[in-house]
Amino acid sequence: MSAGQERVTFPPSSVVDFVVVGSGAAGGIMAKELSTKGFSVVVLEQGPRLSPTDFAHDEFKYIQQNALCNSEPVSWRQTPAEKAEVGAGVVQYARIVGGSSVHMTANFWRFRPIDFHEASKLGTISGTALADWPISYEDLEPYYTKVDWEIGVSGAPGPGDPPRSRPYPMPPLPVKSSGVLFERGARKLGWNPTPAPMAINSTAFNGRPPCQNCGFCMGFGCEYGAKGSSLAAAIPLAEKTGKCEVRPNSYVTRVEADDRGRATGVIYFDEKKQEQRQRARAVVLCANGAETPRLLLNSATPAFPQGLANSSGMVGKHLMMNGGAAVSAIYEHPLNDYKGVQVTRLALDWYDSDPRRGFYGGGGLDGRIDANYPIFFAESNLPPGVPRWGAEFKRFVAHGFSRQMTVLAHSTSLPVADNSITLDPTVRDAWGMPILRVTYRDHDDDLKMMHFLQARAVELHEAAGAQQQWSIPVVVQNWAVHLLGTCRMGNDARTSVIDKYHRTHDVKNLFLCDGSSFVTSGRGQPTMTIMALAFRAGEKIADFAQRNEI
Amino acid sequence: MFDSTTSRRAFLVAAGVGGAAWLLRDTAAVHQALEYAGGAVRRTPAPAFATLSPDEALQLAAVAERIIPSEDGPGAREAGVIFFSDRALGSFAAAELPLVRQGLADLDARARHLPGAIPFDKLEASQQDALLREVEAEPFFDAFRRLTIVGMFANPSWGGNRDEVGWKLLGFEPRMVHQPPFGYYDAQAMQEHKA
Repeated sequence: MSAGQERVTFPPSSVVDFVVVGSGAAGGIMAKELSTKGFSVVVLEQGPRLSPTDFAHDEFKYIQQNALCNSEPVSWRQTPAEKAEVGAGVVQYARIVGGSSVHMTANFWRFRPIDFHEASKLGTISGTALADWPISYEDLEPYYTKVDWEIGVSGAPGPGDPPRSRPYPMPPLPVKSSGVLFERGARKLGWNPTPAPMAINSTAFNGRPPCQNCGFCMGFGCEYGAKGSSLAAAIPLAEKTGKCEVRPNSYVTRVEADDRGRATGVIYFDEKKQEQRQRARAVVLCANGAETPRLLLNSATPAFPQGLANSSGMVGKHLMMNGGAAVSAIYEHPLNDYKGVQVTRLALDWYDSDPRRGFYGGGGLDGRIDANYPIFFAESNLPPGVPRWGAEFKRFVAHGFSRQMTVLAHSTSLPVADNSITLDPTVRDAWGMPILRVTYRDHDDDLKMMHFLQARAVELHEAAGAQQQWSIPVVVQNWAVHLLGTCRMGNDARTSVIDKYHRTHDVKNLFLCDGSSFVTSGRGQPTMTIMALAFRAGEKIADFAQRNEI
Repeated sequence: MFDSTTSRRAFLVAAGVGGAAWLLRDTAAVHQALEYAGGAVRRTPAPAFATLSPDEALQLAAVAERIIPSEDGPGAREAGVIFFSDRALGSFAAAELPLVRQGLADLDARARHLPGAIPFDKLEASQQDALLREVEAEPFFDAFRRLTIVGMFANPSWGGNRDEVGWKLLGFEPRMVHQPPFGYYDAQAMQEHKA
């Protein structure tokens, strides 16, 4: 936005074309797509609006204190038979304009064709709802390319990559010592390491500067605007149209529907905790895979007793979080891996599920600093046997900090109906809304895949010449960051919540687009696909609106 | 986006094992505390402690100096960890103050059982270490340890890490811009590539 140009504002009493709930990876792009097609858009965001000058290199504030993240309690249990307890698990997302795309690591792998039709290929898996997507990789490819070129992705083609219609717009970021060691070890083992595709500028691009290698990406906002968050790369374009207002500190609690079963707008609390109503011709929820189902479930009416758009009973079901595992190591010489972007090399040699492993699953590995900034490393990343305090502790951290590297595994989650987001029956948040209740236990195959990849990470460190390495134990996950699958897309209104154009089966002018739309989890990095879905959905929804089909 | 394994670990650290989570909800109070603590470490003589009594501060400082001793270079003492701890326990870590006080009382009782019956800070380093080993599984020890590590390695704006001695110990350079090569192995690869 040029100096002096006023941002447009709409009085809450006005009826806008679209109200978009959430301004993250999906909401920011949705707002840009709809407003650039000429529609009036109000984006309601729970959190504040920060600018790049508000961000800082402050580990304690952003890693230990989660200053950018949501803070309401969440209740958690592993199975529906248990009572969910507050504090037994956490759902974490960045509550700011730009959402979690602001603090993301920016690993931007595309999904591969297999992710969209794995059920057909493998057959059903008992106890799960593994299903094909109603769209194919080919349907989504043009929109992955839009993410590459409009948001900005740095990378180079690698073996096993899915087909792409245009090359990467920017070359890979400079390889770090972790990338060199990763590549060295992987080649020795006969694997296929490849430069990591990152939504971080390696060159000046689209009016934004290149990365300065400051090293504060994961968990931090980028001071330079080099990271392709929707705050840096999409929302400014939406606002420039003069048709889009992003309204921060707006906590949406309900979607309203009329007697004819049409959405009429949303109810939200403003900054002063005053209840407001924003009316709109259509509603688009991009609130993330936990908050989108919570909103629908909290919007029950006599006509929609199970929650809005939930005639299938599928709203909130099939929560997937992706699997993960970590192995840290110390090398002979300093890597200084805190400099530069998190990840510069990865290997996806285990992408496809392989029946010879004896279980379902796929994934990959990358090399990185992980969260091992000074405080985190000293406090929590000590190998077994190193004292936790005293002279020997001090010698270890002084020697090890610059020489450390972590290999992180990323993997599939199976869709299991009991794994879900529901409304907690008793606990309410500060706005009076029932808190998120999570029911989640990783499928046994998911846990086996995490163990499998952790064993590969150990081999990698060995082959790369690590002097000392230690594994972080694989456990049943109680920490949801990737929030996927809870309003799945499908052709059958009895088994899915939205159609392939992101329109809810039940409410013609209500659309959902975020991680909740996923049918399968992919192999661990969902944000690229969330953005691609948002570009596609935005285009389709604008087409419907132009044809008066909403 | 955060990896779940990573942020779960980060959370476990932040929440502590025995203590309450440190929260930054009351931002005004935190800013006030920060401003004070940031200035306090630079002032000579050091200003009075705001939360701890002078004796509590003396004992807690003695504990911190065994957790990160000043052997082989600056430790908790040179980093001014105690100034960080004092203000932290009066603001965002206030929930841990009772635990810290309980720990100091426990250590004091143990110290006074030793021959000489003197306070913890007057003991020889080896005696202090022996006492701390006795209590290292106690929740209050985790609180001592966390205060020390954060005070040593957090941004100096939080009131510790004076002159960035914690970062210098680790070899962490807090710059806004870095240029490759970053480390030994990428420098090596760059050389090989040129050759």
